[in-house]
Amino acid sequence: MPVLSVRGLSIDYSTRNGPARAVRDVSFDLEKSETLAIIGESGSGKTTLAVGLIRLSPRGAKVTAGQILYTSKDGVTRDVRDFEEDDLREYRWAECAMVFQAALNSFNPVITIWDQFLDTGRAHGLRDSRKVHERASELLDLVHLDPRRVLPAYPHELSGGMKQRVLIAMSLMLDPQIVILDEPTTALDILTQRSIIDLLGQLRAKLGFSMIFISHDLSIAAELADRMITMYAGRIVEEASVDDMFYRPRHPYSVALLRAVPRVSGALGNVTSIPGSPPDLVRLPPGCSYVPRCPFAIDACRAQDPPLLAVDTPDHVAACIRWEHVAAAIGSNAEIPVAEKLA
Amino acid sequence: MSALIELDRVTRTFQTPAGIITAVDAVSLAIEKAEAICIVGESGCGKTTTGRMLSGLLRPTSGRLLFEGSDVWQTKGDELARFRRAVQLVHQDPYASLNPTRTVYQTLSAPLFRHKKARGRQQALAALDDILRRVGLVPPADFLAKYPHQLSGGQRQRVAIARALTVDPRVIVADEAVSMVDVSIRISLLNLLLALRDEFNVSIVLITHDLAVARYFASKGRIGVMYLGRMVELAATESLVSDPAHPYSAALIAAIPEADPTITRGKERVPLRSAEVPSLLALPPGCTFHPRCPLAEAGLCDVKVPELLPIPVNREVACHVAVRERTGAKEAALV
Repeated sequence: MPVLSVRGLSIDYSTRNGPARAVRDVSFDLEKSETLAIIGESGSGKTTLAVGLIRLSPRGAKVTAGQILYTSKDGVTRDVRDFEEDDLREYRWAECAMVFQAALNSFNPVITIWDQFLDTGRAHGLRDSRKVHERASELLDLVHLDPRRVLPAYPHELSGGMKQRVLIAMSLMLDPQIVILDEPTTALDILTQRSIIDLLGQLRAKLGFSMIFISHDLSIAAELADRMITMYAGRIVEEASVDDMFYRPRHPYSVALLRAVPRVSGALGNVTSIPGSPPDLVRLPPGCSYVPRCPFAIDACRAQDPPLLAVDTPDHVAACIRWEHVAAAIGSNAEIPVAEKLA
Repeated sequence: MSALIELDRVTRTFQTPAGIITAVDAVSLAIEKAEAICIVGESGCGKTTTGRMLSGLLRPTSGRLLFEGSDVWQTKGDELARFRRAVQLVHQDPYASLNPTRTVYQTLSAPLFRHKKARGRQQALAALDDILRRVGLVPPADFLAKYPHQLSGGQRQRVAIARALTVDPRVIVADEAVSMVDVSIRISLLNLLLALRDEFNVSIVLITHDLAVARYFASKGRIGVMYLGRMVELAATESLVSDPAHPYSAALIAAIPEADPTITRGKERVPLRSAEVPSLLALPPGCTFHPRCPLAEAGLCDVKVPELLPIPVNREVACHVAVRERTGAKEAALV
């Protein structure tokens, strides 16, 4: 039974020119202890989706359809959309914690790290400060920080990597089942990125929570994900295991994203940017919204927005009527990256 | 062949409330005409300060900046103006580097008028039509009247590159010029810079924290790796990424998460003795990497600052151990 099951979720932003369809009919399951990576360009709707999952969407955003079915630790399944304020507070940190993209600015700059832990604890009914202290120290140990040094410090006294570790520690304070991380390694140095990725891998193995990564950085998906989702113009256009996505992508947009990223090891291959830009979400073109940028497009692609079709295996779906042509171009052999196959 | 532009043992210190820091320490770098070179390193390594000294925006505390053989900080008048036109900087953040109250035409025509490249609106329009085509903003007429907020990040960065081109530069210093644009279009901006190099023989120095970007950009050029103010390795790109000589370069390359599950999950790490980066206020003696270095030798690396020395083939490294082993290895092979 999945811990989170999203069914037909759609989120609009109201704009002067009409509703911008930021998330369109999104469905996916997140299993217990599974790591899911959601990738896409800026404007693909991945952050709107993540924030929507914990119902923290900004003013002007409206969920127009769908369900967010959450199964709590005691086995009860409910729709997050039906939660009252009290349920939401409980759900938001104790069940599903989020580490935000602007992580390095998400502390209150005028109080110490200890006070930030205490505040979070209080907001969730932990009134015994000794217990909060014990828990904070234990978690900081877990993320390889020295509690005696870090707890009395102010945020500006910590490096970017240390702050990111503190935030991860805080997200785990109430032992959540799901941790959502929005661009967790962006803006960090290489050796720091490496240590955060290794840390997340260790924590997941030890504590068994499920993770959702939102990132335009494919390397963190390659490192940690079990499954991947590609989003384009608010829709899921492909969902696959990490190996299928990297080595046997079937949606032309996934192929293009994978080809846009150079590597340091192995052959460079034929790296290429994606031509054009994402569509205006207020005036989406009829049919498949990737058509204007797609080298595989034919007339039929403009007629109807394609549904997610099973490709290769039942666990691998892509919203492309031309997926067989993509498969013919990419092939099915494992472990050869897309940029090399198309070189 | 003498270099087009050269840093000769430049050092730059800054006064901070906590004391004096040395952001760049005796860095030498000679750049040839039409070369594509990258400077990489983590935050605080001095790569941006180096770029600012290279472009003449920041005066070195000691050392010289040479352009076509003459010491830039000793020149003035027309010769200095010539240097100012010849070296242009493209900044990291196209949201901050363009004046939001000026149209593309206003931004790009100002340097044309300032440097007397155009007289009157007609000449400026003709010149800008050509420049906008070269940076891929077509049709140019659609862009001239636009304000920065009407452009995407990638388009803004193209305007910033167009601005550098207005004065026929010989050298473009691009500081993290692609790190703020979407991953999907980074390669096209790098390709644009490379095409300009081919077309105008302009040298391009790309400063980046992203080694994969550096590898792509300088695939036929060189990469310089900086650590805590010093250049620790300078080598042809492919030899650097496939066989790094400095233990810091090796640690970086081994640590990089890559967009390929098999490669990235199977990477062999270089174990560092410490994860802590020393403060610029209290740099370790000798080689500044020695407290973290797996190859460090007591009595040598913690005492003597390693010079950037040539090793085979066509590369330079600032590491006592690497220099000894790599030059020794070559002699052994010859015997």
